[in-house]
Amino acid sequence: MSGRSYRIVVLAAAVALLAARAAVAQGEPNDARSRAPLDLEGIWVSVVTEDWRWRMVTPAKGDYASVPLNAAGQAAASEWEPVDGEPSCLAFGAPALMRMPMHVRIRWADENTLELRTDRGRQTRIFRFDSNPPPAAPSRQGRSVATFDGTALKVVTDSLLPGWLRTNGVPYSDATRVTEYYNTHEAFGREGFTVTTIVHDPVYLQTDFVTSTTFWKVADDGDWQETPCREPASQ
Amino acid sequence: MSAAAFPAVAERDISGTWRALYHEDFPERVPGPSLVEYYGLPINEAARARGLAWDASILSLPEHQCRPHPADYGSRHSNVRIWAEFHPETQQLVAYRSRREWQAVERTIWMDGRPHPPPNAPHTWQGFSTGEWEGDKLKVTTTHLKHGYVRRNGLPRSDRAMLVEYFYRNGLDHLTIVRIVDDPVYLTEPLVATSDYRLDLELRIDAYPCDIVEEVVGLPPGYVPHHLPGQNPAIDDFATTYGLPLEAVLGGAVTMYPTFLGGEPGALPRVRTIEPVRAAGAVAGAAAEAGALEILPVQGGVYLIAGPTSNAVVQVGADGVLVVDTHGAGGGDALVAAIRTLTDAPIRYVVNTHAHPDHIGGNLEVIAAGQSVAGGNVARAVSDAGQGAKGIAHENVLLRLESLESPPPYRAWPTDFFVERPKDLFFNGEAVRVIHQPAAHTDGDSIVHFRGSDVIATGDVFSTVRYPVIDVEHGGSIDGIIDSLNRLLEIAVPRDRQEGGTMIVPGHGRIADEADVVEYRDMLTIIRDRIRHLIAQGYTLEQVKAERPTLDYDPLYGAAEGERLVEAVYASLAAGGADRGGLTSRDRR
Repeated sequence: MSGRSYRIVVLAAAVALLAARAAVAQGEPNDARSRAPLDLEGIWVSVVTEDWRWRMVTPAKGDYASVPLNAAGQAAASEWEPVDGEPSCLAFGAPALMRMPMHVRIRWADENTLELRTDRGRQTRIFRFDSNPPPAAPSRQGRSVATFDGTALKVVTDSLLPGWLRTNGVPYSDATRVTEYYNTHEAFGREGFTVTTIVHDPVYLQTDFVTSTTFWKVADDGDWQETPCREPASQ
Repeated sequence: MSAAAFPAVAERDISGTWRALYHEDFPERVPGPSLVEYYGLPINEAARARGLAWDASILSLPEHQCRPHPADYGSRHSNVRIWAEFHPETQQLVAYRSRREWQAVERTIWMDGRPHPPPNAPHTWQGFSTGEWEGDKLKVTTTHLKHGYVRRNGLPRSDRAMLVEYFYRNGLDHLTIVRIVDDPVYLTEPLVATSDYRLDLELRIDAYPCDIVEEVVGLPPGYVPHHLPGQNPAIDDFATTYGLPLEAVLGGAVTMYPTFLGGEPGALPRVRTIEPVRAAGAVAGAAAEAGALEILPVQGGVYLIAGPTSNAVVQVGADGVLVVDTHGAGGGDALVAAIRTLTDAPIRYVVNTHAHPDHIGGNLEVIAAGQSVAGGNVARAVSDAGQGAKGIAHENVLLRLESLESPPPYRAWPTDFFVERPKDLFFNGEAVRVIHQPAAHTDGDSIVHFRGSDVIATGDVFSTVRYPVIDVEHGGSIDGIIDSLNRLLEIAVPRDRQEGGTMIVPGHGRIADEADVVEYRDMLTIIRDRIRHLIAQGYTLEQVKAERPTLDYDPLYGAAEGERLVEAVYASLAAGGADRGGLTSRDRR
């Protein structure tokens, strides 16, 4: 970067900072919660009208229909063996969690943090509106950075532990990055949101794996039924 | 969280060539769903019954071969090109247009604020769509859909459904379409599904011709493949193949929710769902039922004037006016007034499709308002020979009127009758054929074919809003109705993708075309075959009723009306013998 360009960038950043401070000084809140163009708070239930056979029940070994696995992914999927009982927590990581049949509870944990909890699998995701997040150790739900993209909530998640895209061991690697867009809608008296999930995994996928999942808003937590997932022996 | 209703963000253009991503339900969306794979769909009992009666070989019938996916199913399939159309001067967005590759489906989403068509306007595969921006996302509302399906394995979606779609352009190169369809006839709650696309600048949308061929020869006329109740040979194939419980694959709203997991088989959903606001705007005949006359151009010189009791069809041109049916008693003056909004030309002919009072009740006023052309000895001998329009009907209409205890005044009778050969006219520059339909709705039915305008007025052998009323006492029969519907299908020629072309105006309901008649013909053939099968097994009328042979169509036309249809079909078959007619799928195996 030339010295002139550098000065322009510094000047622009300073102007932006001053504008933000001025807005706060004038009493206009500048936190994510106040700027939110959509309302996701509440309890929602997933609507399983698609991929039923791969979401509502554990599919057969080797049934990875619709998933663009490469040869390494197919080989890894073939190593899965069914186990009775609760599904493995490996299938409840951020790349796959929203495909689970479940209820989710979404709330603002603070003015710049959204929290998403699930009844099935008892998972918690944290979406931080922080453009410069600190490094995080790999985890099942990873590190999620949120922004608003037009009227959508955009969430980018990395720092993931390896896991499964489906309960029958269809794999994703620790190099996976997930980009999600949450959009709300209303029709026929139903309030809902649809999350478009783009899973990028250079290890096991030929191309990005794109799904979209819809939830209806429900009035209360009467059907909230927490059920655990089975922790893998080691990870 | 307090979010603005629609935040002030820029609208996101959805134009582009989009490659469909089949990362969900690939087996259903590309090869096609399995038979009796209904899970995850909020279908009701009637929809399930129709699905179980569905035989895939119906797709081989010529009238079914080139049907495209309807708007609410098409977004699940095929790449799509979307482009914007702007007003040439104002540069305001007028419409989004799209073309899908499979079956060359073209669709328009109007963005200029125009209203949806009136209730009796034709329904199409893609319906009538209008769009509005909600911030940066596009919300599209579609009405006037033809009968379609929620899954292409026989699960129906009615022509009363309404579709709402959201188009989300996520980032620069992803498009998600959320479709939510509400069908008060076959769904217990709205069905939501999604489709994802990726922008592909190198993608081509190629042509997709479809030629109708005779895939199977030797079929009897009017053959409609279907399974009789309880005789679907594939009912548990899918469940068995994938080790799923039958109650899951048979679908219903209960199977859509996580509470279905581990629940008791067949248990009711524990999800407290919100009662949907039912789609009502697209119900055909609504305006007419409210008492107002609705005037709609059909095509050529032909108009529909929908009245409170029935439809009248009017042909207008330089020679004058030809009227088919005149609404009910007391409706004649209003009909004449409606005609006068179209033309001042004299009413020359009144054709009655049959003798029922809801179709000839206005004859007196309409005939009196017209003038026929008289000359020669008649004009010299009869001073008022040209006064009044000429009334035309089959001979049996006159015989029926003669038999009434309180017949209408003679001046209201269609005295220019015909007996065996069709009554042919050449009027307003086109051939007009009045063709008797023996033993159908009554014994005196006629259809009127405007050959130049390419329109058929059917009277009561066809309806889009009710089961047929079969006047068995006065010579009507189920086989005659079905024969008449098949005759309509022989005459009608669709323009493209089994849509448009010959337009067909029923005695009651909206403007239709061949595909709508096919639906009606298929329905009546299936119901007829079921009742005939039960009669052949020795069932009494009450036993037949108990089997509910109209179950899957009653949400369309009413259970009480279904029961009356069963009675009429039973009487008709008992009178004419139950062994006439087509075959079921089982018969052909």
